[in-house]
Order: sequence, then structure tokens, then C-alpha cells
Amino acid sequence: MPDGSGPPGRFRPDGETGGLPPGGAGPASAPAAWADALLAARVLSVGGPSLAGIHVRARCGPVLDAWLERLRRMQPPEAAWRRLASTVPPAGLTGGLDLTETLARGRPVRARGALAACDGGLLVLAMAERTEATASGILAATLDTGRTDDDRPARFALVALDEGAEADEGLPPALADRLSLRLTLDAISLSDAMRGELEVPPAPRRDWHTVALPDELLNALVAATADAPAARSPRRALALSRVTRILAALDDASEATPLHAATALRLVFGLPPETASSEPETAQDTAEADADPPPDTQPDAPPPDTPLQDSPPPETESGDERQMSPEDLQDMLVAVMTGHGLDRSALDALGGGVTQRGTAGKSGAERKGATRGRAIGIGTRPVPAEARPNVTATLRAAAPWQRLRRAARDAAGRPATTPILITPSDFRYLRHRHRTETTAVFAVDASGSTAIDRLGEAKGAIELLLADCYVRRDQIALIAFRGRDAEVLLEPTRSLVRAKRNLTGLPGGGPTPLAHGLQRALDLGLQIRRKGQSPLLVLFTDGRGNIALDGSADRAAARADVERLARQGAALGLKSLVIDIARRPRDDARSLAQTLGADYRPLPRADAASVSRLVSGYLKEAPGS
Amino acid sequence: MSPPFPFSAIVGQDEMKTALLMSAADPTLGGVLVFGDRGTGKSTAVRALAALLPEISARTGCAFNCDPARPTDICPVCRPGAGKRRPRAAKRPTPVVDLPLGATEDRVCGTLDLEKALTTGEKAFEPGLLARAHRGFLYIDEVNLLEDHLVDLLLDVAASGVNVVEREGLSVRHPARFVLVGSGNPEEGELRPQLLDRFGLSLDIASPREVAQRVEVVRRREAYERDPQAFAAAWAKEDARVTAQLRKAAKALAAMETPTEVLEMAATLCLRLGVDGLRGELTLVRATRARAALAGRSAPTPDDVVSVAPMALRHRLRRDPLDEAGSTARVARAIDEVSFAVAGHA
Repeated sequence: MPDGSGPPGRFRPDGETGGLPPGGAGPASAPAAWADALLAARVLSVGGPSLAGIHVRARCGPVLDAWLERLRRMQPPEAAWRRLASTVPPAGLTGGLDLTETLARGRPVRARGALAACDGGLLVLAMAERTEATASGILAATLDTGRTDDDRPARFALVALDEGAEADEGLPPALADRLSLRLTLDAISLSDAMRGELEVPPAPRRDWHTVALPDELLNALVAATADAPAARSPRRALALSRVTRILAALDDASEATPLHAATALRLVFGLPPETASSEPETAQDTAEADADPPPDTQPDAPPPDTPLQDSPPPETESGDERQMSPEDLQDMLVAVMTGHGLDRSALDALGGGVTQRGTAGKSGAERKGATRGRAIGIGTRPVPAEARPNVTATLRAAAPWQRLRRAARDAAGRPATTPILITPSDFRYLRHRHRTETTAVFAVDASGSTAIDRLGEAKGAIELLLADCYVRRDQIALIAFRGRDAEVLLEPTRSLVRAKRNLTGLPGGGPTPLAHGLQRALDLGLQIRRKGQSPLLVLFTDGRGNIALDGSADRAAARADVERLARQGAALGLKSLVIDIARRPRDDARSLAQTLGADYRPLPRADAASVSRLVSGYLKEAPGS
Repeated sequence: MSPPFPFSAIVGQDEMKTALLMSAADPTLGGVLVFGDRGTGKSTAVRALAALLPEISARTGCAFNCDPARPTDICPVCRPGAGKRRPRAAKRPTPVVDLPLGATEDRVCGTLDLEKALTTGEKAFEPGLLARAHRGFLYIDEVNLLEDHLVDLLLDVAASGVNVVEREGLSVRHPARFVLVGSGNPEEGELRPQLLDRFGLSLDIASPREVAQRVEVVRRREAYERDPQAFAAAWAKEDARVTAQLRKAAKALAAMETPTEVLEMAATLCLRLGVDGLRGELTLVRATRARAALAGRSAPTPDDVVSVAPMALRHRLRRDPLDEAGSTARVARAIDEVSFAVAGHA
């Protein structure tokens, strides 16, 4: 399997880098972004477990290290700080029997789980986008209840480091939804991150719990976010309320102001800070300026060693804030969200995982050692690491050695503590094989005059397939290519509900970017394979493309591109099927199928029923079952 | 340990609350399936429910939640060897067990107690989550993402009320009767019809759309976080009222008669919708009775049928990929027709 080994990689001949999914925002001003990042770290340090944690989207690198270092310095020295890889087995989280120690000592030795060890501190979860369903389930439940499974206290804040690069990678939604803060570090350069002193800002003098959040402000916050898709979960509103009050506490204010709310919006949704020219940029600075509430007799604002105060605060604004009407408040908050052409739908992308398809539950066969499924044999290594030894097999392995070991024990003068002498090398583990899921990727030519019919039939076939797919747990995805580009209309899904929603009103017509379509299909196929499922590509085409990969309407270049991609596809060994939909089938589609190493089926009238029958046959015989 | 968020303090979500209370009053209803957005208080409601359920009685240290009157054969606590004394029975809260997604079969069913096997060479059974959930609730978040083989296993146990373990040289069976509560987000995957059908009631819930309600959610949650004890105390009276209501309902159910009118209406409705099997009809009638009992009435009425029919039937309709209208709409349509016919009779 070529997965993970690099070379085949992504199909981007023009050298475009993968990068993160579009953040939606314009160029963020980096120092402001770093200031926000540090502010988020401070808020997290103050809020701790009541914020559940922070979702950090960043590649591994010095900026992330710098940020983590700052965060760490903000914690009290005695607070727990544990870094875990997301591949940690469940037993590592919750604790369990330590087999080797137990054997060595002849009495049960329990390993303390990481969760309980983090009580009162921070848990840094590296590569959080790879978190397995089990681990994310355990983490989510612990964040909810503050206790582990065996009822030990485990109140901590989770720092989820999400290195997801592909659009489909991300934190499991169950976790992403619970974490109050979001942060993207990719716009920050190393020189920015090195700026500013390393000194730890003092803890706020005021307990944030005592900060009042005026009713109209809470109403405005909830109203401003109510219809944003990423804010559908009430947990966002709760996070906003808390972060707003923590920000006010950091300013030593007894009551939160709209500017605190505006900053909270940024931190909670992970919005980039506005550039200097825009009005709400001054939000945090004015928040600082606001920090002299009339009833308070504090002589001056807290020491300004936070990066909040890079620019002189415009003092004129603070006076008006008190008289803002609820509508103004709401407008202002909406303005913060819509600043820089950032419409509310962009929140989805920024929500980072909130609306993403769950990676949870997709038990890849990539994990060849599943802990379930059919037993296929016995091995000497635990795969996965938390697998339980099989007692019968272990005893059988230990039996021949008993006399020798007893003799050795007696010779060494050790007391006879256990009836059977078992050493770690005796452990045997059952191997399981889990059925691999298959995902059928439909790539449909939506160009030309017959596009509507063809798409309609493809859609019908998809719905028919999905209607009985849950029986076998297969998934379907749909790519349509027309005009200048190919588009993934339906991400791999098993959900009929979702398919129906995404497939209403499909566009059709225009020239034929077959190369794009093939490229997207191969991309998606690889993605699916990386997840440990088997992809099946189903191409609906007449094999005649007229748009090259670079977007030019050059038939020859287009053909060359298609051929190159098809060869690459064949090299990858992706299982594929070409359905020739030309009225009078000619050689184009057949030769494409040949190059691609695909099966070829001429089906001039590709109706939903026959297509679904055909593909269904392929799905059933798919490997891995 | 701080008290859980009080059940009565959950804002809105009346349908979910009613459904949970109904299945608590009548455990034979077959559990509840809640589909809906994240953060709508599904887990909160289930955990809160645990706090107001009447306590059960079991012997101290019993890992199987045995009924002291009818202990399990294999329970080492309730059936100690000859000459040993059994510990006293004590009240314990009704168990509400979370089944984590991706739990292994070992964890769910129980398995050989490795600790004992390795240290003393004794072959002992270590009960799993199913044993812990006996006489209580088994809650599965993201039930639609649950592994197939676990789903099958749960189906089997839920249907028979007995967990049978045959592995690693063990041969064990113990009772596991629980109310299955599942939740999930349908966009992330669907549930097999076999499992769907197994749930008594099914709900589609959404987070509150009104700003005022959403604000109230935040307010109550914040008040709870600030001082859980005080918040729980403030709602204790309400919760106690619900507990009393549950107790009364459970008692009333035992003696409740079902009028023919209600039975006929349920049958007509199921016929009209083409619901497979008798389970739908049975559940509908039981749900109707549970609703009447919770309302403190002595017998169910056609009104009860109308009100519980959507949650009892919507997940049992034959799937029709070409029908754009959801199953809820189909049930509503059938109810309209049937209730009109009944009214015409009377």
C-alpha cells in the first residue's frame, strides 16, 4: 500500500500546495494574530476546565512550540501538564491493569490513567485529528463529567493540536463541539511569535465568576450567533458567555462590555483578528481602556505586560459604549463576524470540525489489528497496544517452559509465589480482522446537453444504493465535472438524508473538464484509502474531454492530461469502473478504461436501476470482506 | 461530587423529556432513540434522569445489580459459598451506564478477570457494562456510529434480557435487562433498520431556535456551574415532583385497563402506515398507557394515541428512497386520517 509513503501524493501538477482549507479571511495581520493567540492562552489559563479546552489548528513547528511554551508558563508550577499522542490506547487514558508489573510482583498493579493524572491541569493532545472514536468518546465524557470511568476526579482543559491538512481531516466533532476556544496559528510567522517578552502576565485579581454579563449583552451575543451554522450548538453560546466574562476579569472590570464580547467572538469562533484599518480592530485595546469601571476604586489598570496593548487605546470610544441599544450591540457583533467579507457561512470552515463529517466511527481496516471482528489467528504482539492477551493461548505458550522455569526459580532462591510461571514473552494475542468498508466514488460528466438526465440517473442510482448500503456499511461519494472544474457534490457518506439534501438542484452544462474530474476522483480515492477503506471509482463519461488541467480549452492537452492521470491511477491500483455513456460508444472511453486498468461497460442509457445494480455487484465483491 | 444538572431545569425539549419519563415509568417500552444536533442536551437529560429515578435495592458490593430477592447464579456476592454470610441489601441509585463508542466486546460483555487469572490462577468472570446496566439504563451516544458487531450483540441482549459470554474458557450467563437510550446525529450515518426497530420511541430534536430560549439555556447552565449544589437545591422540589410522578405512574400502570377504542385506533394507525410486525402496535399501546399514567389518568384516551404515535412509529416505516417527505410527515398524515375516522364514529 502506498499510503503514507509520500510519492504518489496529491495530483497537483501545477505545484500548488495542499495547505489548510480556506480560512475565509483575508490576510490577517500577524502581530495581531499572535496577540490573539496569547490572549487565548491567557483566557484558557484562567478559565481552565470550565472552558473544556482549546482547539488549535496548526502545523507542528516552532510557532506552535512557542505558543505552547507561553501557555505552559502561564500555568501554576504545580498544575499537571501532560502531552499525549492521540493514538493513546483507551487503557492509557483510563488506566488499567499493568500486566508486566502485575506478573513481576505477583499482585495486581494498576496503571494510573492519563486522565486522572491530568486532574487540575492541562492535557495536550497531539495529532488530535487522528483521535480514534473510542478515545474521543472517553475524552468527551470526561470533559462533561469531570470524572473518569472509575470515578476518579479528572477535571482538566484539553489542548487539542489539530494538524489536519486535508479538508476531511479534523478533530472529531464530539470533541470540537465541546472545546470553547479555537485558534489558528498558521498565519503567524516565527519572528512574530518570538516577539514580546516571555514574562508571565499576572493572574487576574478578580474572579471571573463574579463578573456580571449584562442581559442585553448576552441577548445580543446569542442573537448575533443564533443563525450561524457553526453556532447551532448551544455550547457555543455558553462558551461566548464564559469567555466574555473571563476577558472582563482580565481587565479587572466588574461588568463585561461589548468590546469584551467582540473579542470573545473572535476567540470562540477562531476568527482572525481584523487588520489595523478596520474599526473593530481596536476591540481588545479599547477593552483595556475600558478597564476603569466607575464603581471600582482600583487606581490603574493591570500591568500592561500583556500583548493586548500594542497600540495606544483610542480613549474616545469608551464613553459611548454604555448607551448602546441592543440593536446596536447586535449590529456591532455581527460586524465583527462579517468583518473582511467573512460571511457567517465561513464560520463553518472556521468552526474547524464542528460541521465536519465525523472521522469518528470509521474503523479503518488500516488498523489491521482490530480488537473486534473475526478472529484470524494468534500473534505474539499486542495489536493494537491495548489488546488483552488470550489466556488459553498464553497458557499454552507457557506450559512447555514450566519445569525449566521452576528449576531456574529455585536455583535463584526466589519464593514460589505463583502456581504457573508466566513471563511477558508468553503473551499471545488473538488477531482480528474487521471487514473493510468500501466507498464508491461516482465521477459524473455533467457537461453538455444531456447532463441533466445523466446527473438525474446518477443521483437516482446513488439513492438506491444508499437505501440498502447501511446493510453492508458502504459509502458513496459524488463528483461532478463541468465547465472548468470538478466539484465534490457529496462527500463520502452513508446517510441517505445527507445525500438527498446535497443532491437537490445539481447544475449541468458547459464544456468537459474530464481531466479535472479524474484528478478529483483519484484524490478522493487516495483519501479514502488512507482511511483504511477500499475505494471504488465509477466514472460516467464518454471519454472525450476538452478542457486541460490548466483550464485551457485545448483538446490535445486535455487528452494528454487525462492519459497521464489514468496511468497514475493504474499505478496506484485503485479499483475502477468506466461507464461509457456516449450514444454511440467510440474508442475514447474504452482506451481510458484500458489505461486506467478499469472495467469498461458501455451503457448508453445509464438508468438509475441498472447502474445501481451494476455498482452494487462491484461493492459486494469488494476486497476485505 | 457535584450533583448532575437537574432534569427539570433543562430548557424546552419537552418531547425528549416526556419520552424519557415514559420509558422510565415503563421499562418494557423498549428505550428511546434521540436524533438531533450536537449540544442539545441529550446526554445532560439522560444523566439528569438518573438522579431522579427511584433507587433500587441491591447487596453491597454486588457487581451485577442483582435483585436481592432473585440473585444471579454466578454472583459471588449474592450467592457466596456455603457458610458465608451475604452482605446486607442497600439502596443504590438506578444505574445509568455510558457505553463509549468503540468499546471492545470484552468491555461490554465482561470477560475473564485477568487480574485474578494472573495473580491467583483463579478463573473468575469480570462483569462488563451490560452487567452494570442491569435494572437501569444503557446510554449510547452516537449510536449510529457504533460498530456492527456490537450493535448485533446489544440487540441480542436487549431482546433476551440475558447476557451470554462464551469466551476464553468461560461460560457465563447473567441477566441484563436495561432501557436502551441512544442518541446521534443522522447526518453522520444512519442506523440499520433492525436496530431502529428495537427502540421503542424515537425523536428528532433540534437546538432551540428562539433567542430567548437559547439565552435561558446559557443562564441556567452558568448558574449551575457557579454553584451546582445551590442550583440543584433550587430545582430539587421540581425534581422531587417528577420522581413522585414517576413512582405513581409505575404503580398506576400495573392496574391500568386499555379501552378497546384505543386499541382499535392503534391497530388502524399501524395498518394505515404499513408498519412491519406487531412491535409497533404493542409499543404504541404501551406508550399510550405510559403517557396516561404520567398524566395521572386512570386510562388512556385517543388523544394519548395521537400524541405518542409520532415517536412510537416514525422509525418503523418502510424506507422509501423516493419519498421526499420525512416519515414524521407520513405519520402525521395517517394520524389526521385515523383520528378523523374515530371522531366520525363517536
